[in-house]
Amino acid sequence: MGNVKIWGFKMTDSGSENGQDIQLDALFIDAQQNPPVPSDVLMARIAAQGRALQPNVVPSRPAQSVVARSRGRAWLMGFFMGGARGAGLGGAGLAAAGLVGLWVGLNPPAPLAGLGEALWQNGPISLVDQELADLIDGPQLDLGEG
Amino acid sequence: MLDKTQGPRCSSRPKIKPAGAPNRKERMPDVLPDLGLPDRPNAHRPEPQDLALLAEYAAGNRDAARQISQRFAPRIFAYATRMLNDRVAAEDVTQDALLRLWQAAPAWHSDGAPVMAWLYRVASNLCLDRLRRGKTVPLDLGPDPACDAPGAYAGLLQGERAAALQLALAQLPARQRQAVVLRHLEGLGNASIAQVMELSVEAVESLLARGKRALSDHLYGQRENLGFQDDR
Repeated sequence: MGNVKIWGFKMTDSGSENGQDIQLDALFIDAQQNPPVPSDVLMARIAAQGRALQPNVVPSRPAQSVVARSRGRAWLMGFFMGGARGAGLGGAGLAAAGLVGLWVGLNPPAPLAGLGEALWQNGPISLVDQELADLIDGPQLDLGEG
Repeated sequence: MLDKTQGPRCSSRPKIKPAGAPNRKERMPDVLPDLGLPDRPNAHRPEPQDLALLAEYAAGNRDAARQISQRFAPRIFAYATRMLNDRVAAEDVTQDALLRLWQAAPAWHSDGAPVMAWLYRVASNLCLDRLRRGKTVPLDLGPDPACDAPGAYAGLLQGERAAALQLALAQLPARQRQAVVLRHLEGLGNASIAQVMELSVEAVESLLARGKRALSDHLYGQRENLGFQDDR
């Protein structure tokens, strides 16, 4: 048996499947060049789902930044926790008191807010003067009566 | 019992370190397992970038979810569409497969299965479950090209061929279809297909041979409509 053609492609006795393969390959190549494309809606939905399930969410930054931040956090923790381990409860208390002092200084409670203003607006001397004046203008001590 | 849609096992403890900080035990393998097809330029190649993206995602980088979606979802959607012959069902499969990736990412083993192979396996199991369960809706191939447009005949012919191939694929038994789609449309090598289908390479070759023969039989009667001539 000599060469025959099937679907327009020459094939031999021993290669009948090759002839079909060539034909199928033409269809495969067409299909590869035009794959089904997902809609933008689907892509957005998948990305949103990914963000919703994402652990350790931080603002968009490179991973190196995350590592660096972790190192900084670890150093701070080591500083305070190390103090607590080395000096016992006293060290931990000192660290806590320091933090509280820093916090109160930066965010003073309402009753202390006026004090700061008075101190820095009028100056410490004028405040003392005012307190003294109040004492003087207040109920007079009658030192003359015995 | 192991849920096959879960893909390869992941530990409950994160094993991936952020990019740029691998340790001695968890560093990426020097040689990644073969996944891609060498004979297609746009075939997905296993790259350290896949693992780095998962690490970024696990570390909380907000943009990583978008990048992972764009990298993997289109291929999974195309694969599912060809397997199911149904765009809507393929969208569901794609979203489910990616959902499993989001869940697995924080505990991903850097020395485990390549991400794309893992996704193909998850999507395959989801598709096979759907095929076992019920019917599929005929594929919407989109609008035909306008008859007066340049290259209209070529466009029509290409559309005819795509539709014929898709219908012929839908006639194949599910495992043959899976092997043919993975090999000839998604561009995986036989070893990678064996990995995805959890079969031997010989079994994959057998599925491919039977699948292609059946495709040829289905398509032979349409050869003239598809622009092929039989001049025996």
